[in-house]
Amino acid sequence: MASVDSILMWSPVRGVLAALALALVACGSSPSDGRFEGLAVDEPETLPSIVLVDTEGQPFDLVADTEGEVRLIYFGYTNCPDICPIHLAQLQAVLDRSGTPPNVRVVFITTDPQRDTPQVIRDYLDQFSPDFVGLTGTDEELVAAQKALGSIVAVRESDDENYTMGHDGRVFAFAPDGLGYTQYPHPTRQSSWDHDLPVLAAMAPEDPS
Amino acid sequence: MRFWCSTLEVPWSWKFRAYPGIWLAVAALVVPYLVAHSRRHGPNAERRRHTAFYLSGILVFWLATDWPLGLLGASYNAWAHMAQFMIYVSIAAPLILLGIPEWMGRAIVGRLRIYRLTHRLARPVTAGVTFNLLLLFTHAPWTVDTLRANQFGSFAMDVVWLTMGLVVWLPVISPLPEQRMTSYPGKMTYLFLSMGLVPSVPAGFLTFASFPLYATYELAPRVHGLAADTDQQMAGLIMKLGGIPIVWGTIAVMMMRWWDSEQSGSQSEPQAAAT
Repeated sequence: MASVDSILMWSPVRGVLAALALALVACGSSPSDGRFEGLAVDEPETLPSIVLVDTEGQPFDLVADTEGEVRLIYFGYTNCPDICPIHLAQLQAVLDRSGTPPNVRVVFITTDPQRDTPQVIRDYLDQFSPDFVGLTGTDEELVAAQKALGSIVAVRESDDENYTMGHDGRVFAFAPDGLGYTQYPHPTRQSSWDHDLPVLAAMAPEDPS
Repeated sequence: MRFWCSTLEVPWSWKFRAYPGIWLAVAALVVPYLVAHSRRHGPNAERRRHTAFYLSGILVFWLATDWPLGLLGASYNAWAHMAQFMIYVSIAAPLILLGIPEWMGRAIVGRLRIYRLTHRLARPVTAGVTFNLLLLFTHAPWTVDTLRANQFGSFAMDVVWLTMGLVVWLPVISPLPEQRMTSYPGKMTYLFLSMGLVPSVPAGFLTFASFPLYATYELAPRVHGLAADTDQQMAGLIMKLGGIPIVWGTIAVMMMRWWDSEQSGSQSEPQAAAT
């Protein structure tokens, strides 16, 4: 299991990001409000309407195109050596289980648009599930998306050709009612996902009538 | 550099990693043995047989502890963790015991003042219960996740595993004859119960658990895409089936020896009656 010490050892940039993430998590959320095993957010925010480009090259609206679903939104990159493949593999394992709510959508937004072309993202996500949505955009659009969701903005860690990206390790979860009640840091165990997804899936928008 | 294999938080790589603590441990087990043997005169054939058993046991222990299997088991895959355990208790430990001549066994327990302890541990019920309690403890998720996270804990776990292997085999092949069980049926029953039957219970938990039990392996970077639940099922199968060749092979040998002894006994009885 990843310890804070080991995260901080990886590199100075990652260390700063990890410290920031911990500070954000500590300030903006509590360990649990009883409903979730993920980190419960004090003031659930509404999913912002962000439009990016999917792996088919089509515009994808985070709100309109995922209506009625649990959205698990994650900022990562396909060359990520550790956190991204673990998060995605965990989600794939949980979503493949019988009894998991069907209305759950995993949305992977790249933080490395230079290397992560739509086809690269698709090929990468297909290793986990063809149902995972992959999104990209311009640098500006991706930075805006990260800020809009309260994520730490990813940074390139070196000028090296095989550079890594320091990025937020949290999965932002939004219920079908459009509110982000909880977040999942790295590492999150399958049992936690399995506990929380049905709770999130049941949080449907109130009937206006 | 680390001295012992423990959890790493980087993706698995086939690039060699050195663990000098393991080499030192192997040297500490081999050098005194060879020195003691060189100072002792005895039949060459017997000495060669003992040395071959002992060095084979230490070689197996080394291969199971060092990179790559040791690191895979300490950090990445539950199946490797379980394979390591099975190799320790089913292969390395009995080979080491078979490699210790009686005089050396007496010298060891005398110098360490553990004769009474080993004598008590060599009782079948004590050995079987000790082995299985430690098996449950050292495979509990809390224990694995806590001990494997650092090299001192990982070292302790490996030491306990090897010790467990030595303890469970004592009633059958202790270097000290008075510690061995005498009857073949007793030995066979003991081996079946202590190493064949009871461990299948935790193995079942691993194989049929709803979720990965060990955070260490569930959250480790995947090795060649092996999913955490498949990995755990493989570990359960290794625990359940891995000991079969050794345990049942040993039982089969004992069965044949028992048969032979019964045959020779029944043949000698009429001769004795005739004389």
